[in-house]
Amino acid sequence: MNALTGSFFLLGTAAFVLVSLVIGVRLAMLSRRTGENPELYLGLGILGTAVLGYGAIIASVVLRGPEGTSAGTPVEVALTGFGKLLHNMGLTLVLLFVVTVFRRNDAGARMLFGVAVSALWIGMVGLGATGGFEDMTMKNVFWWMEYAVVWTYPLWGAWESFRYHGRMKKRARIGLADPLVANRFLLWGLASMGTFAATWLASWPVLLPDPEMVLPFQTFNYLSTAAMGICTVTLYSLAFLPPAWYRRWVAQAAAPTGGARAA
Amino acid sequence: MAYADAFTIVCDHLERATVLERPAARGTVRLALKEAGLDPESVTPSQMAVVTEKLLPSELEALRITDVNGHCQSIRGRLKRLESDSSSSDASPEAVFERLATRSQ
Repeated sequence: MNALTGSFFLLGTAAFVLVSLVIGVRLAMLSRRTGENPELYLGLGILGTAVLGYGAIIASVVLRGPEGTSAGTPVEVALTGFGKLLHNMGLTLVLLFVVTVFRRNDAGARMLFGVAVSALWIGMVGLGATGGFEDMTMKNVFWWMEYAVVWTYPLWGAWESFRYHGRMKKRARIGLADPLVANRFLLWGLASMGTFAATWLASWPVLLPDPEMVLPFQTFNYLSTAAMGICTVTLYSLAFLPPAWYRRWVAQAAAPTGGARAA
Repeated sequence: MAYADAFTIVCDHLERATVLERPAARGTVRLALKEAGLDPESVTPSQMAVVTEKLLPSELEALRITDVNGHCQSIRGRLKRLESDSSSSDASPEAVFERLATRSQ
């Protein structure tokens, strides 16, 4: 990895973690004011996945170095386990946010949530018990259980958000919805797709049979992961901290077909 | 599946006061709700009132129902009474997403 690629990766990672930290803390504080759970779930979910969990896992990978994925020191192993614990707690809360907000009275969705969360935690605990925190190249049945959830969970939130965005656009046309709130569903759906893409870009090399096979793709991997991280937090910022110019732009874009709000 | 009171009120009115039979009345209201991006299970009285004002008249006119304005006015009156009786809910996805960008202090 050359210096330019390394700097961009560092910048992207720092932006991703810092913006996620601000938004996560802000949402958690909002829940204290409103007394409502969804903002708490999402705030702690973002803090767990993007800030604490991701941070600890990255630290563990950096400490191990490029050749050190198959044997870790006790500190590196502890960091891996702690990072996974925090990440999966955050992931569970993000899924809880999706079920609570979009599928409150849906027994099928609660069952899907139960299956996904069970697979995640059984996978993580099983992987740890079979030496998967020491050897990061290990891929047994527990690894597959955990990663089946890690690699797919953002799709659920994206699907629900895009579906609801379609409805909100219709409502906005007859004055039953605020165009900015309708737009927020689109942004959160796109940000979820960004999380999905960044997770895949960062972790697909683990599927390769020989870790050295990733070397030709390393620069692409670092650049694309950092770029996706920056895109994702930009979308988060526009959704949860929309600046005045963005609010005006959304209002103007909706004006030709939208009417005055009725409710 | 439990329908919202606002949906049931409109369907009951159309079934009782027009030539539409129960399935046709429900289908007509469902079409108007779909066009508005709303569900029969969760539509609120205030949302139903807007649909009754802006979308339902054209659906009823397409079915050659007479005195469309009179029916819609009567329905809106009943919805208004229902609105004042019911408590508002903060649990809908739009209410949650509206809150997410508000200030925390």
